[in-house]
Amino acid sequence: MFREIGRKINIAQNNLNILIGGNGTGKTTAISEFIKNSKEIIGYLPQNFSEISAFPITVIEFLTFTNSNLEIIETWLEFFEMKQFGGSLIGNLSGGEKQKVFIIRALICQGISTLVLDEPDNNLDNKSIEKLGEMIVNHVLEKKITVIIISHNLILETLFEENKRMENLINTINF
Amino acid sequence: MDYLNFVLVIVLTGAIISMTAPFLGQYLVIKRMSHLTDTLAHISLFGIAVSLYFNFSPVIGAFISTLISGFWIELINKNKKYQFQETVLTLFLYGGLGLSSLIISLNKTKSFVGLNNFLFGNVNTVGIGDLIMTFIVCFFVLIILFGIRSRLFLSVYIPEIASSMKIKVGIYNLILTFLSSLLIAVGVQILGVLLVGGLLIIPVLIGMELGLGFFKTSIASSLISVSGFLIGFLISFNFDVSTSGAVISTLICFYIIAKLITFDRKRGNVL
Repeated sequence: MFREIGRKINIAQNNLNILIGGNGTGKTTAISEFIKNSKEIIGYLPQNFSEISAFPITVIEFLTFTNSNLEIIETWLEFFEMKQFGGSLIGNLSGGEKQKVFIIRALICQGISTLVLDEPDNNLDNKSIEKLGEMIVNHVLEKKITVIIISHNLILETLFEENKRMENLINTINF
Repeated sequence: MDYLNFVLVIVLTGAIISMTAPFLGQYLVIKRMSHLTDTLAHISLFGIAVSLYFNFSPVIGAFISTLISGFWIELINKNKKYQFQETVLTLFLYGGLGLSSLIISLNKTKSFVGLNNFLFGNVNTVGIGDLIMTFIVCFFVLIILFGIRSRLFLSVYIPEIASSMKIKVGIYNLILTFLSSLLIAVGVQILGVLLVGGLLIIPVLIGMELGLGFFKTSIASSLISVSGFLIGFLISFNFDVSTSGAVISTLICFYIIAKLITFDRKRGNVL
């Protein structure tokens, strides 16, 4: 009856907010609550989309349902080295490729000021994780976007810590 | 000449419905609620039984009953925290059947010859008025589906992403149910209660086998559906068998053919 559904988290605006903590500490629940209570459109990457319907749809078609601007889509596909998969069916992609498609989907949402990525490094190889880190840093520094991520990834952590310009822009939230 | 006109009206009405149905059905397949068509069709029987009892248009009776129960199903599924969507469908399916059998048995004096037409469909009852109504309804359904396609798709594909984009998922689900009710109420006359759901879902399943993208799958399903209807109609016309039975059997044959054609490709993917 008094169970707290989703802890209130204090998000630092225009910063990189990293949620850390063990399994079952309610990070994803806290994020879901945050998204539900937000009045703005949020670029959101959920953790589990393995159960999505197997209906055939190509990567480009899926992305145009979020943003019909093909140029932006092409740019991000190229950034994540996914250009050759533009016409592939999402159902035929590997886990990592699928993950990248859903990361791109979160990025291309129109007029967002907040990006929420729940374990974005899932299924990604090291090179893609570096790309992901580069993208996140760029979003915080250049685009002044509030980024919230749940991650335990060492590559990402060192990437953020080694960047001098990110020094005062990282807000770590322990669960 | 009159006879030719009569056949033309039937063919046109059926072709329009079968062209439209897969465009709607694909969203139900994505939502994993394909049995909604089945449930709504069975509930429409209740509306038809009531309309025959009180002597008003069966299509209106079918529409009102499917619409109310469709919204009701959405409401129940929305309030429930757990995911037992298909269980609710069963409740409505048998509820609808039970109520309609009650109404039918209540009536001792009036004849229910018309009811049989609606169970398996009877193209002989289709008139020019039905053609016009079908055209208007299908046009309306297609326009709305085209207008809301991206939001509707996200709402049924990944609801959590849709709500993060501030898309009102509940409203889009209601629209989907509303359009399904409309189309089923119209389609019941030709295909009948027991088979109308098939026209919404089976062509989509065949289209999915082809391994095309979303847009191409929709178009392919629609074409498959229309050709299935036309071939089924020809068969029923030549051999004097039930139209709905012939149409659905043709579609099932298409499905088997599609499976056989894509069998090799699928196996190649696995290896």
